[in-house]
Amino acid sequence: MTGDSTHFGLIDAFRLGLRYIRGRGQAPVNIASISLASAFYAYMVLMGIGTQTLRTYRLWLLSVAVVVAAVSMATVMLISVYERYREIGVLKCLGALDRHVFLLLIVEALIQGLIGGGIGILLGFASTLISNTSTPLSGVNYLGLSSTLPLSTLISMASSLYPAYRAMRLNPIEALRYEV
Amino acid sequence: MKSEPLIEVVDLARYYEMAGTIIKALDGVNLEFYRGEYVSIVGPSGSGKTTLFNLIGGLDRPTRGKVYVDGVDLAELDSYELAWLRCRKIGYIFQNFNLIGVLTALENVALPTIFAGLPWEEGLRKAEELLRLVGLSDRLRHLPSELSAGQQQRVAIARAMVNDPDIILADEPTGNLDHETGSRIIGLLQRLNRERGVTIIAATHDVEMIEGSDRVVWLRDGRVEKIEVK
Repeated sequence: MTGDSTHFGLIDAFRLGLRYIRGRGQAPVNIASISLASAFYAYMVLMGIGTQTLRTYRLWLLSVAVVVAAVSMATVMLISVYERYREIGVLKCLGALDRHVFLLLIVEALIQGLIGGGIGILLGFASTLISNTSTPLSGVNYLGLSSTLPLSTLISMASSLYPAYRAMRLNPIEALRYEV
Repeated sequence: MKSEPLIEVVDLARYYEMAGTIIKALDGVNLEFYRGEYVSIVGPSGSGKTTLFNLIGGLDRPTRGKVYVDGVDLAELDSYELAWLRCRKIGYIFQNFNLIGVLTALENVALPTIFAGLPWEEGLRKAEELLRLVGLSDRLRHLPSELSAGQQQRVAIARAMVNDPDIILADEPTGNLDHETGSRIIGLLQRLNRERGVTIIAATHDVEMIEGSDRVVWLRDGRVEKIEVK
């Protein structure tokens, strides 16, 4: 009996995380806020950073968008953890370790960050086309544009650290008594 | 009955501190459960039934006393080993079913097999087999919200069975069901007990459930009041 433990790998976390993202209402809110910040970033990559004054102004806007996205994501993830209090307790009862619960929440954030980043790239692209019709597609900085995805997943995962920590630390006995 | 108990509870006590006063949820309980037994735990609410289950399942640590499962002292296990115990040795059934809302019946039953390290496809296959056993082969792809209370509890029973546990801890399994549905759940548990030899320990108020058990343990104020052999 000793020496053994339970399993929950990255693939399992993706499988369960996708079900939660599909089955619960909060994911679109997270994806929307992440894609908005990503769109800002993608737009700036495409349009170039501009002159000195424009540069300060745009960087300021970008940081505001990133902070807003991160705070919104953290709040919504925390709500999502509290709404799932009992279910997380059940997972622990069935054999989930603290780190399994943590992994699940971070993977959920990762998936939403990727989707949000993808939508953000499309939005940034669309707004570039609208505001500047002369941009030739051949001149697009694809490498710069693809850096939107690491940025969006980073924001998403970093702002989910605290909610994931709360989920991980919850006491299953209390969670199973918990009424939503 | 065999000589070696599957679960042995020795002088078990669990005290809580609540607003400065000590609450003795369990206060010196001695019990033995044998392999293949069907035991009902009866007592008013607050008599310590759920606390006892939490301690047997390793979800909680006792203030005093010991729990042995299969001869192993739970106090000597770390959190990894306790998770393994809950996953492989013990199946849980709750009063309010506690299924995962975003997973289908099939996925809910297969979920514990992930923690047991089984490949997902194999878990699903086992889950399907068990759902057939509990009579829900036509509800595999339904979400819990699309199932009746009785069906949800049958899914929960299948989930409790999926890792072939030695023990099922059932906390008021018929508490949220009407009489007829409850009757069917009791019949199902008795069948699993007889046919699969799984030890069932059920906290209950249900007369029908008590009638069908091998032994009845009466708890009151955290102590064993009497044990009745049927």
